[in-house]
Amino acid sequence: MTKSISRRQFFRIAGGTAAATGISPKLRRILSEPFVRPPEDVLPGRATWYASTCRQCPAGCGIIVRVINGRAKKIEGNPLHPLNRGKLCARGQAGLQVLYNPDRLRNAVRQTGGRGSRQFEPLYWDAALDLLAEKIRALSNPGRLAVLAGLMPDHLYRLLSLLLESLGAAPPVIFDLHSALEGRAAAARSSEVFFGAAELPVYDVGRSDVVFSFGANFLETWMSPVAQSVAYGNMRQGAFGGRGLLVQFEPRLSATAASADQWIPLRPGTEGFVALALGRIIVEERLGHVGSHRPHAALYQDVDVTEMAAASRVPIESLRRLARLFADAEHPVAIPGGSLAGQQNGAASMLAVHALNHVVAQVGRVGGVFLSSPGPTAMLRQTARVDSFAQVQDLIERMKAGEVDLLLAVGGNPVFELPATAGFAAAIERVPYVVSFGSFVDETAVRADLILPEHTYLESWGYQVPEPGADRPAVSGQQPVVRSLYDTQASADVLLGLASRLGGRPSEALPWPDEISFLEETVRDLHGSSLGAYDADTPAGFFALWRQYGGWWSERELPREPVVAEAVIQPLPIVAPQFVGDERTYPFHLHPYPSVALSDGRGANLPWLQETPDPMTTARWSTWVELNPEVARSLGIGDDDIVRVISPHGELEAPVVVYPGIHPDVVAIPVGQGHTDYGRFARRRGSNPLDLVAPVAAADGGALAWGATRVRLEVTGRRQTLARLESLDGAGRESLG
Amino acid sequence: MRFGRTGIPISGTSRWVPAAGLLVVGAVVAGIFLSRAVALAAPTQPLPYSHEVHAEAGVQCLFCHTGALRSDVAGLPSVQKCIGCHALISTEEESIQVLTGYWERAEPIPWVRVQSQPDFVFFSHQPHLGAGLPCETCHGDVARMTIARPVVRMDMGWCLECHLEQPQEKVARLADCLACHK
Amino acid sequence: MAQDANHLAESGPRWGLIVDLDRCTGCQACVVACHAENNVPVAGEKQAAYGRWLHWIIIQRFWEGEYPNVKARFMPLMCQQCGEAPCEPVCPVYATYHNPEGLNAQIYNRCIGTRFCGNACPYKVRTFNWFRPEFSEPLTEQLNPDVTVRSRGIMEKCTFCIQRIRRAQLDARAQGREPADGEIQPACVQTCPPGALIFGDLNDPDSRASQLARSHRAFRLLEELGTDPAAIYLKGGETNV
Repeated sequence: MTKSISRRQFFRIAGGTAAATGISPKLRRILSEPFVRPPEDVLPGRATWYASTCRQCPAGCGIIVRVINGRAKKIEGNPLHPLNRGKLCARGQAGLQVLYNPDRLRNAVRQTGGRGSRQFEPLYWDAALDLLAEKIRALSNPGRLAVLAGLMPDHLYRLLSLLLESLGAAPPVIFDLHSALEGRAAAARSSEVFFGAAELPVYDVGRSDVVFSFGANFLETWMSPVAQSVAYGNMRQGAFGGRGLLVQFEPRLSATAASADQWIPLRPGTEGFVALALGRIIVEERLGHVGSHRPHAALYQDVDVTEMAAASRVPIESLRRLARLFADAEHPVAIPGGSLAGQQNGAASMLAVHALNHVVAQVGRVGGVFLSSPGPTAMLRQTARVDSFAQVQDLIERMKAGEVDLLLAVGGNPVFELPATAGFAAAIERVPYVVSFGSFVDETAVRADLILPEHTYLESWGYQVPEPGADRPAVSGQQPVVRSLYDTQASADVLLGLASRLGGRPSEALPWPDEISFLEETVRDLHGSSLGAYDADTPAGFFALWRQYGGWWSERELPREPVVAEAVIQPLPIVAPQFVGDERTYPFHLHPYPSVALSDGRGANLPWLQETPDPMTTARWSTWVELNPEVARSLGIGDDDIVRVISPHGELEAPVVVYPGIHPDVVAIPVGQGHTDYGRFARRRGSNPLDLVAPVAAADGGALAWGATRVRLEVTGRRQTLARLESLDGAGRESLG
Repeated sequence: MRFGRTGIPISGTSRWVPAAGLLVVGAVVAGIFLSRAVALAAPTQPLPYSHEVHAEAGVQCLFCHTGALRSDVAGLPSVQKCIGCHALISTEEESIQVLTGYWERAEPIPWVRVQSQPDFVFFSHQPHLGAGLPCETCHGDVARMTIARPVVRMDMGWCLECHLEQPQEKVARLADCLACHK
Repeated sequence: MAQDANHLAESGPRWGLIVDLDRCTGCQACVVACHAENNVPVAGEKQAAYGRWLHWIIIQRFWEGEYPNVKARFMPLMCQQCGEAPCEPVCPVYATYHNPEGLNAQIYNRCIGTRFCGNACPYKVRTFNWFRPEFSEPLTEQLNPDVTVRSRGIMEKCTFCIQRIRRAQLDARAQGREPADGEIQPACVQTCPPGALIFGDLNDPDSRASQLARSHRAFRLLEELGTDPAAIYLKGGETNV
C-alpha cells in the first residue's frame, strides 16, 4: 500500500462521492408532454367523471369513473342511478383491475400450437373476422353452429339473437355459474308460475319490518346485492320508526345470516318444508291481520305441520313462534333464494316461499314483493334467459356426437364453471373449430382455436335493463371511460362485422355499421317519454344526456303489483330433496357457495379481490373446507388440517376451517379458486369444488342442482396454513359485548 | 510493523486515511455546490422557446398556462394553441418550422420540466392564485427569461417561509404537514 | 410550528367517522374501495399467511354462542384518529403527529420504519411495508396521483382520505365557502352500500356525524384506555319483537 492516494483511488472516491451527492443531471430530467389537440372535457390536473355500468355481476349497477389524463383511477356508484344510488360493492370497486390487468389479451389471436399449447399468434381483425365468416359459411347447415354463453348485457344479447336467428341457427345456450348459484333461472320460472310473468321479483326489503330469507344471501352476491344492501340499511335504521328483523333459513350461516337477528340451521332441501309449515300454521291458527285465510286453505291442504317439523328438524314450537312473528308484522316479506334453487326440489321450495307472501297479503304491498315495471324500457328489455341445465347437457351431448362444427363461447367460462363430470371439456375436443370472445385466456379460451378478445367493460358501449329491476323503469347505459388500451374489439362490433361479411339475411337483420349507431337508434325509443328524469329537444341531445346520466330512468317511482296466478291456488307440492350419493357412504351434504370477492370464479384474476378477506372466515387467496366444530372434533382435526373431500364424481383437498355456523351434516366450500389458467393471480391456487358436483338438474327441467351432491371426508394428516386475517389464537371467540 | 498504544498494529496505510477523508469532504462540498447549480440551471428544451419574446408581444401567463387558476397543475399549452398564432406568425424562423413539424406529425412537444416536486408532495396552483399571488412570486421574472429556468430551489423550507408569514388565522392550516404532504 | 391541536379544536373541524354496526353487512366493499383510492399494495398469499397483511380498513368477525344458537357479528376497524394517540409520542422522527383537524397524520417521507408506532397502537391498525410494493404493469395506471406511493420500510394507515378532505376544502374555498356536511366522503364512506359509515365534523353540532355521535347506541373502542378516538361506533340493536 502506498503512502498517498493513487490517481485511480482519487477518481473513484471523488467521483463516487460527487455522484452520491446527486450531481448527475440525468436523474432530474422529467418530460412534460402537452396535448396536441386538447379535448374539450379535460382540464389537466382535474379529473373528469364518466357514467357507465358495472359488469362485474349481472345486476347492472350504475357507476361513475374518475378519469385523470385518460387513465381510470377510481370507480364509484352513480348517485343518480335508482338501482344502487351511489353505492357499489367490492367486486364493482375492483373493476379497474380488469381494465389494467397485466394478463389481458392484446390482439385477436389464433392458438397456433394447438389447443392447450398456450402458443398464440396475433392476427389482424379483418383477417380474424374473414376467417370466422368463412367458417360460418362453410357449415353444411346452420344447426351445426352452437353458441354457449354466460349472461351478457342486453344490447349484445339482442345482436347475438338477431344474428343467430338470421342464420337459422339455434339461440345461444346461456349458462354461467353465478346465475346457477343465485338460482336465476329457477327464480324466473317460479315467478312465471306464481305471478304469470317470467321476470325476477323485487323484494321491498327497505320498507319491510320482518324479512324471512330462505337461503337468499341478498347482502353478498344474490341478484342485486348493492340495491338490496341499501334497502337493508334502511330496514335496520331507516324507515318507519321500528327496527326491522331478519331471519335467515339456510344450512350455512352466510355473511347475510351474520347480519340477521336469527339463523335457523336447516338441512339442504328442507327450506320448503319450513315455509309450508309456517304457511299452514298461519292459515290454521288464523294468525295475522289480513282477515280471512279461507282462500288460502287450499294451498296447504296436504301439509301436515308435524311431518314438516320432523322433515326439517325444526321444533314445532319454533315454527309456531316464527309463524306468529311473520303474520303479526305490518310489512313482512319472504324471499326464496339461491340455495333453494340448488336443490332438486327447488321449484317446490320456491313456490312454498312465494305462497307465504301471498298468505300475508304482501304481494304488491309496501315492504312486500313486486315486479318491476318496464315502462318504455320494454322494447330494450331483451334480457338473456338463463337456460335449464338440461339444455346445457343437450348441447354437450350434441358436441360429443360430433353434431357441432363451430362453437362460439361468448362470456362465461364453461370449462371451469360446469361440473367436471358434465363432460364439457371432453366434448369440446370433438368440435372442429372453437372461438372464444373473452378478454383473458381462461380455461375455456385455452381450448379455443381463435380468440377474439372483447373490450373490457370500462372500454365498452352498451345498455342493460337491470333485472331484478329498481322501483321504477330504468336502463343502465354503458360508455367507454378510457380509450381502449389494446387492439381488442367490442363483441357487438364483431357481430356487426360478421353480419356485413356474411351478407344476405344476416346483414339485413343487423344493418348497423357499428355498435354506436345501433345504440343510438335503440335509445331513441326512450326519447320523448314523459316519464324520464331528463328530456332533450333532439335525439342527439338526448343521447348526450343518456351518456351524462349513465342511462335512462323514470323520475317517479312506478311500482308494479304482481297478480297471483289463478293456477296457483291449489295444494302446494311437497317434494323431498334428492341427493346424489348414498347416505351411508357419503354422510355429508356438499354446499358450494359463491364468495363475496370471487363470485363464481370470475374475480380470481384480480389481486384486490384475491386479497379481500372472506367475511366469515377472513381467509383469502385459497380454498378451504368449513366443518361444524363437533364434526371436526369427531374426526380429530382442527383448523388448517388438510382434509380430502370425496364425492361420487371427484375429490379435492383443502385445509379446514372450523366453522361454528354450519349444520353438522353439511360441508361448505367456497367457489372461485382452482383455476388452471386465467392469469397469474388466478392460476394454480386452491381447488374448484365444481369438480365434486354431480351434473344433475333440479326437477322438471330446472337449473344445475349444485347443492345435491353428497360427500365423505378423509383425514390426510397434512397441514397448510391458511392466509387468514384473524389470528387463530382466540379462535374468533372474543365477544364484542 | 509498528504498534500503537492499544496494541493494534498500525500499518503504513493509516497515513492515507486522513488524506482520503479530506478528499471525501471536499468532494461532498463540491457536490453540494455543483448540484445546487444543476438544480437552478435552465434545462435544454426541444425548442428555444423564449418567454421574453412572447411577454413583450403581450401574451399573458394564463393564456398558455390555463390550469393555474382552476387546477393543481398550470399546464402547458397544447401544440394547437401554439400553431393558432404561429401558422402565420414568424413562420420563417427555424424554431417555428420545428414547431410546425410537430404539429404536422401530430406529435406532442417533449418539453423538459423546469420545476417539479417529489411524489410525496401535494401542490395545487389554484389556492395560490386564488390568494392573489402573482406568478413571479415563485417563478421569478419569467417575462425577462429567454430560456425558462428555476429561480429558486422549491424545497420545503422555502415554501414554509411564505406559509409562516401568513395571517394568524391561516398559519395553523398552512403550517400543517398535511397541507402539502399527501 | 403548528399550533397546539387542542387550542384550535373549537374553531376548526374535528373529523369523525361513525360506524353503524347495525347496518354493516361485512361485504368488504370498503376494503376494496380503500385499496383503490389509497394505492394500498397487495401483500400476497405468503405474507398474508404470516400475518403481514396490508389493509387500512378491515372487518373483524366475531362468533357468539355455540351451534345451533350461533351469531356472528362484524366490526369494521380502521385508524381511530385518536385525540390522545399513543402512536404519536413514540415516533423518534416525528413522522406521525396530530393535526389541527383531529387527524393523526402519517408523513411517509419522514418515516424511517422503526415500527414503534405500530407497537404502541392498541387497535393494531397500523401496517408496515415489509417489502417493496409491487404493481405489475399496467396496474400502475390505476394509481391515485393524489396519494403517495409508499415504498418499503414505511408505516401506513387510514388517513380518513385526507386527499379528499383537502380537495373538498380547496374547491369549496375557491367558491368562497367551507365544505357542506356530507360533501366530504372518504372512499369507504362513499361506497358502503348499507350506509354503515358516515363521515363528518364532530365540532359541528348539526352535522349528521355529530347527531349520530349523540345516539344512545354510541360507544368507542377501548374507551377505558383514554385514547379519545374520533371513530364512534353505534351498537347493533336488538329488535323489540
